[in-house]
Amino acid sequence: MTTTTCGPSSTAATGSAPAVTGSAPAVTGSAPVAPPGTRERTQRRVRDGLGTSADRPDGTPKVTGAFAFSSDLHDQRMLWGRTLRSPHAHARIVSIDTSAAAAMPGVVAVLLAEDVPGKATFGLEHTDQPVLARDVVRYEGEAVAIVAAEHPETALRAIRAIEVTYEPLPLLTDPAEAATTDPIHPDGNVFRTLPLRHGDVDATGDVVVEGTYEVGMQDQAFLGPESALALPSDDGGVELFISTQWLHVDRDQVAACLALPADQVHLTLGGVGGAFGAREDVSLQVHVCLLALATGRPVKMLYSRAESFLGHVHRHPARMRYRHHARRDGTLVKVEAEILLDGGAYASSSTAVLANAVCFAAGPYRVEAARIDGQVVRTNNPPCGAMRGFGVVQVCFAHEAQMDRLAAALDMDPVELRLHNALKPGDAIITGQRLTGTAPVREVIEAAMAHPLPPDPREDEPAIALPGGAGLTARREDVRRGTGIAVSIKNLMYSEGFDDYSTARVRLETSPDGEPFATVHSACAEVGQGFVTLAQQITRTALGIERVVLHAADTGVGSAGSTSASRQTWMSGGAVQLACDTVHHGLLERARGVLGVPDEPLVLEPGRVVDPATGAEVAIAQLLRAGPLEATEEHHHAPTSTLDADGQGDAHVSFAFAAHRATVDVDPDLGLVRVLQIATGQDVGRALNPRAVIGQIEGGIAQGVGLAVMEEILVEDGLVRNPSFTDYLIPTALDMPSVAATLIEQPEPGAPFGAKGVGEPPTISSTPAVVAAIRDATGKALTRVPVRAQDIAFGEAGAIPPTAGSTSAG
Amino acid sequence: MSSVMDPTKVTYLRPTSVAEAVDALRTSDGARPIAGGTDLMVQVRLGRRRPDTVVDLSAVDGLAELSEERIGAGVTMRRLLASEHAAAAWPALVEAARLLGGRQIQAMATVGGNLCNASPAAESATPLLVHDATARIAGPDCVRAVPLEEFWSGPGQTVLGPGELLIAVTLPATAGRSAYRRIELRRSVDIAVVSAAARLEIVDGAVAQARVAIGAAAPTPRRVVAAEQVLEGVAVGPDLERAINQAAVLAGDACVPIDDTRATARYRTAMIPVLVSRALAACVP
Ligand SMILES: Cc1cc2nc3c(=O)[nH]c(=O)nc-3n(C[C@H](O)[C@H](O)[C@H](O)COP(=O)(O)OP(=O)(O)OC[C@H]3O[C@@H](n4cnc5c(N)ncnc54)[C@H](O)[C@@H]3O)c2cc1C
Repeated sequence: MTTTTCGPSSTAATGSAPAVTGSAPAVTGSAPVAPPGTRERTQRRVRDGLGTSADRPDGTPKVTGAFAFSSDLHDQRMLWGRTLRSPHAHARIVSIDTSAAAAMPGVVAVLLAEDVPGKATFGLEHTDQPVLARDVVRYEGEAVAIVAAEHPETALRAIRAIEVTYEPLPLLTDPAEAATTDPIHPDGNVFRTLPLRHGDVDATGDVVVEGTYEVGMQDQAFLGPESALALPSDDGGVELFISTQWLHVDRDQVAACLALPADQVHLTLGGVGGAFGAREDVSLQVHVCLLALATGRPVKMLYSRAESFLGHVHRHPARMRYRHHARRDGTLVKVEAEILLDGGAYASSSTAVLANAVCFAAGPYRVEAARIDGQVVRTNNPPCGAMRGFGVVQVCFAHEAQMDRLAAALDMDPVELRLHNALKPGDAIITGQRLTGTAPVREVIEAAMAHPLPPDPREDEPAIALPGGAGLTARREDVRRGTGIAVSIKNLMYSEGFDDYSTARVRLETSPDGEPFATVHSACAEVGQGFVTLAQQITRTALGIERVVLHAADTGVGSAGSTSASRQTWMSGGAVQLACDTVHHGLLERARGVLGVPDEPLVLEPGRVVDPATGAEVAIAQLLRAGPLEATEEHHHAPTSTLDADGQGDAHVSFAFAAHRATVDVDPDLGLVRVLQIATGQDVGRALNPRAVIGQIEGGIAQGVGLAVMEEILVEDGLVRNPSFTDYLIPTALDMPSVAATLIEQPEPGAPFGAKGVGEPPTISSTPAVVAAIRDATGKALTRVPVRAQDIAFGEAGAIPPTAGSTSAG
Repeated sequence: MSSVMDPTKVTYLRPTSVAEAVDALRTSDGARPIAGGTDLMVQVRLGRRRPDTVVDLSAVDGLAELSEERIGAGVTMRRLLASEHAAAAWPALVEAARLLGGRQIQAMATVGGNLCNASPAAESATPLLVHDATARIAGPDCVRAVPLEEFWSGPGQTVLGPGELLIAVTLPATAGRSAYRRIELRRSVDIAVVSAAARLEIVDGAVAQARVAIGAAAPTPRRVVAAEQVLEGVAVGPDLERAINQAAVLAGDACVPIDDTRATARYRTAMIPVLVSRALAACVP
């Protein structure tokens, strides 16, 4: 059961008033938020407007099974596409013989690299990945050939009938060797090296603690496998229905590889079954369009689960070496870190992931000096890219373990140490960037700590309540309880000078029954985060009407940017707001004409426009008799700059903070863990839909707990050993702890409605909090996630207190 | 690469008697029985098995029979969980059935399928071993009985010959308590990392009969007779506590586990004594 606690709903600038515990999943709604920016505003509230826990428009269909996911896409005439993938992690392609496959009845097309009409490679930041491998394959699962056939089984038999002769090449699987090994790609083995030097890099502290940490390869583990339907269009172009995170960046890559102008490639979002970063890169987009154009028929592709594990990027595994310097009173003097990320075979978004890891290497703390060296490299391991938390997850695991080591070395309470160093508004992070917005670090920590701990274990508890669950093996008398805390900082939106704007079109008109309704057209990918709800809420509040229709997300309107980096509420929410503002102005303009008051400040109320001076009013429906009002607006965030040679610069738009306190029960002999509770305080700016915010917090925690205790893609000699949900374990409902959440609401200056993105922070610091709690219960060092049962059962003791020699008097 | 059955080439047969089922199995070398299909269909999808004929056992008369001394091969985990007799007579088996898969899997998964799939981690295997189960096998020529501990010949392998079918396991009336313990890495719907079942029959304050079996610790589920021997005849009390510790160590010695994605062999070897001692302790009144 989830205990949800919501913070105060006022707009007060300090948000940590005592939390009120509600029962699951009751969330007290915040007061509706008045959109700032215009003097003339809705005075009375419209139903299901901003600040309420309005229902998701796709909620009921998703629960009843009526929602069409992209895997449900269908066309009467469609063929089935299938991909032949490399069984080797590194090999030369000596020959490919497709004759047997092509001759099979029911096989319509077999395509190879030479059949790609346009650009041979794709990629988010560097186009280094072949659409189809031509001479070399660099990871297990790399696409080599594609087929289209009348039946999915025929397609499968056809790819098996393709004969490829490979000559295995030496494997590069250790990221530490990448920089000095012969290049495995013409672009070299180093994606990016990023040094950061801040303050007096030679400073030393009275107390020094050091440690090395590792993060394993996590998968996004979405439930809806990659799937799409492509249809050739009459103009020689292609129409693609696809589950993705960013329609326009897919379109541009598809168009380039197909040698088509962008306007002949039209994309519409298919129902997305989860994303978490794994749909930011192209997977089957180019392949399915190629097959549709080659065959002149609609083509559907749908990955199997095993193929999905090979067919999308994962979270970067990391190796990190840290040294923290502090004064006797706990003040952080310097943080040193070497961070090595394994990017796998192709670049994807590795360079941006590294920037995040380096910029946030010290966490949400004031540090006088920092010396960070980050590198992300190419190997023959599976390609890595975006995943919820994007580079920050890895370093947060390390810096939070370091803070606990430091607290132990100083004999200080770990919470005190964090509060002592917590960033405040006006402080600078280690890139030299000052926090000009809100920074309630102290508040999130205090809010997390203020929640009551879970009740003490009872003797009569059912055995399933213990670690190990249904296995019935743990015994209450052996179980030890531990708690741990962790805190995080995450950038919102894209960084380093990138203008990731969003576009929205809003049209207000009357339906045949005479009721006004608005249509919102945005290319924002709804991947479960709730933009569809938010777009309706914003429009209802801004235009004083209840009926808001969502146009399908497609490339018929300008880019919305990616549904990632916790950015769509801010970016696309802001774009919808701007378009609503323009329509709103148009309405008032018409009302002035109708009411004959050219200079009066009028007020929009639900359903009508009112002249407060006289009480005269006119219905919105009447104002729309003159025709619909429509506006298309782009929303850009404040510009950012690049990082200089020392990793310094105002590279980020805004920051969000979260703290998590985990309570775990551990059976130390078995090495089994039950995470009982996560208490959290999260900096959300404003909760525009409190229930949706809680949903993000719970989902993010599930993924953070997964990384802490079970989720890892195991790679041996470049080969994935567990590409299934039998062997890649994700938490079930029984593994999910109870969540007690306090939302810290301090409106963020410059953010539409003051709201910060909320999707990533819950994933970031929940992982180190759980591991800190396991350390507390067991006294084991546990410097690697996921923590495996054998790490607890046999692991070395020692995180607390730090290992001998790591503490030195300065 | 994964593979699927070629649906156009698979023959589906649904016999209604054991004799018909045996005949059906002999129509092709590539014939395979299917019960709940919760193992077979997964293996077909992964390309590990490619039957050209599937013989559906769901209509075979008598196969789903559950009585006081007999569990038909077609009895599902859900049936076991609903049976008062099973709960009273074979507690270890019911504990194991309760944690096999999730609810949906329990509704389909059969005891016969679980035993014939011959996974070293098969949930029902060790509980049935400690209850001295005998496998009843029907074949082209005769019906034969094999003690369950001789039923498996390796991972995924049984002593079933061509055309042979497991029709039931029979269990003598056994006294005493039994218990099942396993280690799983997730709190539900996971495969055992290691498992153990135990049974102690205590008469006049001393152990009259002891059974210990371990799962996922060797190529097949197995009984640990050496561990049983140190327990039998021992009086309840400190002596039994010592004997349990000894038995646990002996069970650890009987492990020949593997390293896999779930756990290291070292972890498995270290956990077996813990599981065995906890399962045995649960059998002491
Ligand atoms: C999600 C999931 C979770 C699972 N969790 C567990 C778990 O926790 N523990 C566990 O042990 N297993 C688990 N399993 C595996 C499986 O459910 C069990 O082994 C189940 O008991 C198999 O029974 P079945 O009737 O489905 O067998 P089937 O799949 O129908 O058959 C399995 C094998 O036995 C053969 N066979 C079946 N009946 C006979 C017979 N009478 N005579 C001869 N051969 C026969 C078949 O040919 C086949 O090779 C899980 C499976 C899934 C999909």
